[in-house]
Amino acid sequence: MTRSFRRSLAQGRTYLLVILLLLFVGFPLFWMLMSSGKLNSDIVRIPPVWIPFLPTLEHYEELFEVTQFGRWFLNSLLVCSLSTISAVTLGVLGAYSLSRLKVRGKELLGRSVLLAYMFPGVLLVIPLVLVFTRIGLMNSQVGLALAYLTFALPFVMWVMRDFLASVPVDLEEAAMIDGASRLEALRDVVLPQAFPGIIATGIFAFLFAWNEYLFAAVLVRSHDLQTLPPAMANFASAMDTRWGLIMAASTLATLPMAIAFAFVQKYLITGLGAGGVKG
Amino acid sequence: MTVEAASPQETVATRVAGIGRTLIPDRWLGLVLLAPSAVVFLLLLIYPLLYGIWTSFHSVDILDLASGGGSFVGFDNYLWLLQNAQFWHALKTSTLYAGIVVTLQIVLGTAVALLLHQSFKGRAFVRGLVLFPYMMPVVAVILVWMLLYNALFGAINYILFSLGLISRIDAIAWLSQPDSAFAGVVLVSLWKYFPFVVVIVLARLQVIPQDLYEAARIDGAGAWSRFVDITLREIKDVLIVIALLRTIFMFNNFEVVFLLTHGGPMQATLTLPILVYETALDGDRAFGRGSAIAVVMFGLLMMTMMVYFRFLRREDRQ
Repeated sequence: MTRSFRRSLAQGRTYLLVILLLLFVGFPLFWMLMSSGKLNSDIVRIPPVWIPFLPTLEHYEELFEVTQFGRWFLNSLLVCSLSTISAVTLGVLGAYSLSRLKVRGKELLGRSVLLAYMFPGVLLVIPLVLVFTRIGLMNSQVGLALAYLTFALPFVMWVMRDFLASVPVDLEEAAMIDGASRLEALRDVVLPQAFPGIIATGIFAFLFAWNEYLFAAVLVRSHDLQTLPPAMANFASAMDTRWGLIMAASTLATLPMAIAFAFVQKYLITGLGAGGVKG
Repeated sequence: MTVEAASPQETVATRVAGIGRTLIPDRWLGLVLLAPSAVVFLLLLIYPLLYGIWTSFHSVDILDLASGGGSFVGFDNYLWLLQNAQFWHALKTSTLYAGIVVTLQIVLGTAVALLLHQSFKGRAFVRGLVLFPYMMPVVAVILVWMLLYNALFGAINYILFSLGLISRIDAIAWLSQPDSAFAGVVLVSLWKYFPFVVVIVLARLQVIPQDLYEAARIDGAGAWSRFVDITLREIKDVLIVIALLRTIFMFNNFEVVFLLTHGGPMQATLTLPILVYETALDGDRAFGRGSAIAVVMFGLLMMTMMVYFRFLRREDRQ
């Protein structure tokens, strides 16, 4: 066997494996999109209609006419924005303190942040229900946003601590020698430098909240206030034969993530990595 | 703070640091900036955690919700737990589920990371697409897979039938038989969460020094021994960390299993998180008993974290 033959054999094997990978990962995504555009009679047809000849938009129209999808979508947007903005504001300040300033017991604090970030929602949900009921935060979107802070804030702090540590200290010191206070240096020098990272971290925090189900299902029960994940699960089990409708809802719920994805791809490793922890 | 001769730069920094006119020295500023986050942690994590432990020693039901009370019952909830066959069954199911899913995730994730580390056309696109399942809302993931698993017109049964692997097209009702439901839950968990392993391992692969491979090649090492002696050895530590942290994550994962099977059929997929939910948040709403389960799960989590921190310390020392 010649060397070039062997190399093209290896190349061929690589492409074969890549195709298998694409099928495994991509097929459910493809199926969701295709089913949302099929007539109901085509969805249940055997053999399956792989690609609808004339895609229909009727399920998307029905989604907004028959269900309160638009409302739930806005609720999700509201709750997730609220928790993300609070988490980023508090988290960036805290992370700056952890990465630059002298605080006693900083290492222990950093470790607690990691532990907090690891903390599974299912272990928090009972006490949160009990406490929120007593102080009137049950069935409230503010309450849900607060509950999301339990993972969003440690996430932002954990990622931003490393990110801020990589911003050179020299610039800040130069500004301070020129007479800026430390907070002015933070505002005028550090934050602009770290801005892309802050945005990416914020987008991740937003997506984690957008995808969350347990807190959303337990803490907000009323139909009008619910966010997308529990509302979708409910209407899917109530109309479990309307697959076109259900797939249209799934596609639209995935959309914000697909858009955000384009922006954050560069930061995926920092963002998802976050020390290789949770998700 | 210890009194030290500060370098000129530090002196300047300390002197000019402050908020507006009110000068706040750096040593206070650090605390001031951390304070809001600390308050959030205290109120939303530490307090609920302690409250959960308190609840586990009390009998709290739906009537106690408004008053915040409950009667002290000592270790009753824990005794109930130990005598409850469901608890032991759920503990076994959770362990099995986490063990199998994490093993499969690590094998598949590492294999895919190695594949995506090769160069081929469209690599950036494939790398992006592979992460899609991970970022997708879990509810959407579950709904799509329920359609795929459908016994009558699901694509999975159709493909198995076309390949001649099953005799009738409606041969497998995936989510309504115990064994296939467990397998079905494992497959969806694998699909949704393996990209995480890919990202971490791929990042690690990219920093392995290339000259290690060249030196080995000069020494006449074959492809397999290069893989075992260099690649595997380099990524070993990352794999251990992933295994520990992913085990914690999968063990406590509620959403995939609950949404797909609600713990059924016949409790085949009843994991501990679902038992917590059923005990405390659904049905008879026994908050004390549910909390006892959660406290046991918390104990297991802390034990695993201790192994993790010890591992980190050992790594730091090396």
